[in-house]
Amino acid sequence: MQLLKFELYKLFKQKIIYITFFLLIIFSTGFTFETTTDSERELYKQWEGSITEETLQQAEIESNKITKKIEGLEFGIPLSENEQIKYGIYENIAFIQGSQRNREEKLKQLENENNYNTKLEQEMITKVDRPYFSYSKAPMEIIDYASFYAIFITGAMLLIGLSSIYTNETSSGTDNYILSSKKGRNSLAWAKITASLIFTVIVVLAWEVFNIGINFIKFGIGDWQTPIQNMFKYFFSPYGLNMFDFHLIQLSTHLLAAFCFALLIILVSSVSKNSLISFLINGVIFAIPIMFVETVMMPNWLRDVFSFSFIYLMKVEFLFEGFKTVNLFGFPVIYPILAVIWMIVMSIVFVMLTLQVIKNKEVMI
Amino acid sequence: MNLTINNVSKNFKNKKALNYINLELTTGVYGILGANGSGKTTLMRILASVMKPSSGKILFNGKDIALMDHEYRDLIGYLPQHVGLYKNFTAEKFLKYIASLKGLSKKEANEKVNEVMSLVGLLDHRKEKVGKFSGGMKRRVGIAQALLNNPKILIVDEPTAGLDPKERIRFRNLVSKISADRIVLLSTHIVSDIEFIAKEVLILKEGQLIKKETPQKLLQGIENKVWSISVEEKDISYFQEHYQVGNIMRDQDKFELRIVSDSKPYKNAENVVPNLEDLYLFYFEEVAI
Ligand SMILES: Nc1ncnc2c1ncn2[C@@H]1O[C@H](COP(=O)(O)OP(=O)(O)OP(=O)(O)O)[C@@H](O)[C@H]1O
Ligand SMILES: [Mg+2]
Repeated sequence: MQLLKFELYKLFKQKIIYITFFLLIIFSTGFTFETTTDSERELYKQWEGSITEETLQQAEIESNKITKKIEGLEFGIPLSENEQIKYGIYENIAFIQGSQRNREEKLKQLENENNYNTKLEQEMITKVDRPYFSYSKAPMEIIDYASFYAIFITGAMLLIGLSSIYTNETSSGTDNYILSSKKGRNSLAWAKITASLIFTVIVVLAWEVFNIGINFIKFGIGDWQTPIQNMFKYFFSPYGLNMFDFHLIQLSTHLLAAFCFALLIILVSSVSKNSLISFLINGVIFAIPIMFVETVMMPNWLRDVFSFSFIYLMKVEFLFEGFKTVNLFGFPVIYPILAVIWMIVMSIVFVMLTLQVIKNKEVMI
Repeated sequence: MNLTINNVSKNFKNKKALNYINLELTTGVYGILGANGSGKTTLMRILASVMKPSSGKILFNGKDIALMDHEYRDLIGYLPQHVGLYKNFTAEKFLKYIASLKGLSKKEANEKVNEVMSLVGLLDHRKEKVGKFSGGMKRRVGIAQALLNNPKILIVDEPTAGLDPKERIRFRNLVSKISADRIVLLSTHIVSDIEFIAKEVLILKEGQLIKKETPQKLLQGIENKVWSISVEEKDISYFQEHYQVGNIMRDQDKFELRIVSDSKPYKNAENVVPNLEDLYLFYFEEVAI
């Protein structure tokens, strides 16, 4: 316990982490602050509820009216704000319906298939909620933040906060006391690991508080019961999750990926000569996959392999955007489960390697 | 209690730092003498278990220290040659941190930290940041931390470097007081540190243990080899070129040279009683500090 307290003290005593966090949060606002008005929310209210044939028809009629108006208008005369909002709503309803239609077609298509995972996909798709429209700007924004800005915040904070966790001892010369003391190897390694995981939780909580705070202020609480299929990214998702459930899963997965990355950072730090080297190695491991995927043409399977890297695991998105499984002795294992297994295995390996390194560690200078 | 060093060697990339060292240590103070680069620090690091020998073994009471692992580390106090500290810790906080590394409970730590701070005369500075300490004060923090766990084996690498004379005497007395039931291993370039407190002096040269004797025995060995002569200033350089010259003292308009030599260097030279400084000179052909 004493050791853990000291490790936490050393970690949180680093001024740089506060500066970095502050700057990243500022950047994550995109330097804009748009809010929704009450009248806008009023408009959404009118269309709230399950989408039926009726609502769909009505939306189409209304939408056509506006389209006609656009066509009838002279070029350059804009729609009123209200009309713009309405148009957005109609489009959204059509989009949601489109997602439903897509699932129905998929189900039909699956009837003629008989793969190891066909049955699972059918089951999952059937469980997706009926299309449902509601004002859910806040949850959508919050989910987006957690899968975009958040990965850079978590990544940078872990890199900066933890890369020097062992190299600091080398550079300050305190490794002499540590390595020659009773608890300086195994127990201290566990204390450092625990402190790092606590640090990780706090980082994730910190940006999440900001994320929720700012979006609630901007858009109100919103409806968290709406299915994730209402979001553009999850149009094809076979997962029957509402935004609340999904956000929790997203946070947990992100956190698990962050834990895993933190453990890797500790391992790299324990074998590095100095903090800079440790930072660079960890930074490269973190950033390389996204650079590859974004810039190099590659087959889908390779893209999927890259997706199981820390940065994409923290992003969570790819695990839920479509129906993807691997075949494990004839049983289909969905990507989210596979990811969790993979992260747990990695974590165990990193911890074991770190303990082994520390057991045999010698002073370097 | 005994610590046995069994055929220990340490090779760095292109350097043999230790060459088949065999040594048996029991309670008492052992002073290690050796020129820069002779392997003192390397030997002490291996004994402090922060470095592994390339070959050979260390046994504590017959048990391999590599297998004893944390049990062995529980027995040692180690002051490295370069004292590392966390700059923004106070002296007290730093010592408490080390105490927790050594597995002391909070209560034990509080008592022990007080005790060792007063032993090294730092009680008045307990709340000051160690980053602001002078070199000597830092070393005293280093000495203090080594004592926190009542080590059975105390390994101190140049503990008196940078200490003022008063602190050096205090340290010397401290070591001789606690050495009754401990193995103390002390390396130094300041031979007066160990002249009177060392049970035995170990002399390392280029990674080899060339002597292990009581100070008295060692001095007996050079009994008729230390000379004092009185010369004119112009003749000093002649003797420096041809003999190992130690102290040079002005004596009115002449100079008195202390020379270590197997044979009488000059007709008016007189035999004098050797001290460890002469001994150092005898073995290392260079001037001791
Ligand atoms: N980590 C290392 N890597 C490579 N060579 C080393 C290392 N540590 C020590 N050496 C070499 O081993 C030899 C013995 O060094 P050591 O530090 O043990 O000497 P020392 O007797 O303590 O010297 P000093 O009086 O200067 O402290 C030296 O030649 C040194 O250059
Ligand atoms: Mg040395």
